[in-house]
Amino acid sequence: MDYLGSGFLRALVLLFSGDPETFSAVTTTLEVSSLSILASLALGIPGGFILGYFEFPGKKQLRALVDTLLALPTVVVGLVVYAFISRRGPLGEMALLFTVPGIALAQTILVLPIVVSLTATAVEGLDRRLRLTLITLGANARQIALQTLLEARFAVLTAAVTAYGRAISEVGISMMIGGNIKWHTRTITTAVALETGKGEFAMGIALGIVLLTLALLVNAVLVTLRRKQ
Amino acid sequence: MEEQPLYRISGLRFHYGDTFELFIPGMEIGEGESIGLVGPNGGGKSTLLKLLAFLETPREGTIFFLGKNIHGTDSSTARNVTILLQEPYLLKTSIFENVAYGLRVRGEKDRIRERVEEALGQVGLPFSEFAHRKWHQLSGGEAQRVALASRLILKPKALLLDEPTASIDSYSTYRVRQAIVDIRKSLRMALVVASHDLEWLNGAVDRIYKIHDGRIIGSGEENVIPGPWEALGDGRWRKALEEGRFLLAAGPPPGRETAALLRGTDIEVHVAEWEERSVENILPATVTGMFSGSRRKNLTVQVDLGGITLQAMMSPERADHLRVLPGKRIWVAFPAAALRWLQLR
Repeated sequence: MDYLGSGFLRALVLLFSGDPETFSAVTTTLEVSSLSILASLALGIPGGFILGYFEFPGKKQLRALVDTLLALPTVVVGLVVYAFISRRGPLGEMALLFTVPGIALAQTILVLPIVVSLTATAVEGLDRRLRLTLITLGANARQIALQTLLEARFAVLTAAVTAYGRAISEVGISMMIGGNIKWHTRTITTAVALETGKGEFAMGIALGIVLLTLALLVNAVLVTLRRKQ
Repeated sequence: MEEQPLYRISGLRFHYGDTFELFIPGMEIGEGESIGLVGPNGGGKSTLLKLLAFLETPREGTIFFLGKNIHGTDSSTARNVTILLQEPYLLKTSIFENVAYGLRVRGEKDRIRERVEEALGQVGLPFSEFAHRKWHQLSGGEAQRVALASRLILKPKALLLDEPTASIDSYSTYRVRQAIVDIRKSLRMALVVASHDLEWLNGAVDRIYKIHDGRIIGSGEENVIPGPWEALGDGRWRKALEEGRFLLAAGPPPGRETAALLRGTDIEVHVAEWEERSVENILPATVTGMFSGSRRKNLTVQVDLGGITLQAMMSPERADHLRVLPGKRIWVAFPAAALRWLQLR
């Protein structure tokens, strides 16, 4: 077990000495997950609001589909996106394969159902009296919709943080779409997988510590938001 | 030219499924008039208020507001009316923004701070202490007062209140009542209040309607005595009270469960058992409350007969002479023929 202890010590050295390879994986991870979360929020919040707020034919079926997609396996998303953006695919000309935007695109597809579903649940779960109160205070339909979204803001933020947690911790998409290219598309999770395979535990542990710290931060934000709801 | 009423209701019908129907054949509420709605829970008070607030749409009939037939939540007209629901909902923001919300959605920008300060002052909440607080930093009574302030600031033509003091502390109850009295002195605003608080209603409103099973069955001076009734075989019917006592009515009722009406003025109050045997109902009772209305000459004496509560009307002079006080054991007397069967349909 000595190799684990010495690996841990070397991991701390890598982190505190600012090892460029380690920090390249960290910055790539943050870049990819930030892009994917921004895109999924831009699409998912309006989508989730529409799904939770309005009544329309097929709503139940659409809701069931979104909820099913919550359990979307990362490798399936990776496979489908790969097929679309590879040179032979319909989006091949965009040259997204083995790029950071390519990973972000696939991660967006992965976390979009989380944002949509949790936003819809948040809007549906609002107090029945809210709508009546807004009407009695003179709000029109647009003002009611806007205020409804504002009232659900803590739950929507919770959705965003949950989605972010999923994005930073996935490995399948980053590996398949990014190709784990050093200095370029190597993320924390793909680097950990690679280094572990090579028996190089120091960098794996160092990146694991960073990932755990990020997960801890995400969880702390989640707990704070849940307390505010 | 005759003044147009604020509300004119005609042939109004509303129902939830097959079980409950509200029917108001005709009703008018003038500008600046105040109405009290009393009656048992589930009788239709809240439904009528929601219809008057245009939160519900009648299945049949019309509600004219200032001569205009309103359909749904026509926002320009509905903005003249506001309702305070029994359990208030505060927006998840500061108290200042809660009170200012109605002004903001109307696009009003002038003197917002002063108006919020004035509205909070009307309900007894100091601006400096409460304006910055968050929605969750209030007691139930304070939340109700903030909800009322957010309506008063709008200076509506009609203020509708659904049990505004049902679940709040006594100080908040006092502040809510006082705020309503104060604003009506300075603003010609119609008031419709659903409440079980007869003592307050008697002092605060011009007219009281009793609503039972979806129908207005008279003024608040009429007692509703629910069934079941049991035939005695001599043309009279009886309702069992506690301790083996009975209340007698001249039958037959339309149904065993039919409620009977009894005017408060038909009930005589005595301090000793009465010897007049021509009156069928002579029953011991306990005085549970007494109140006077600002617009009525008579006192209302609330008595508990053991199982039912009645309100008897009597002059202040007679109450003084008999020394009727809350908690005192008395006798009430009324003839069986004074009970009239409630005809709902």
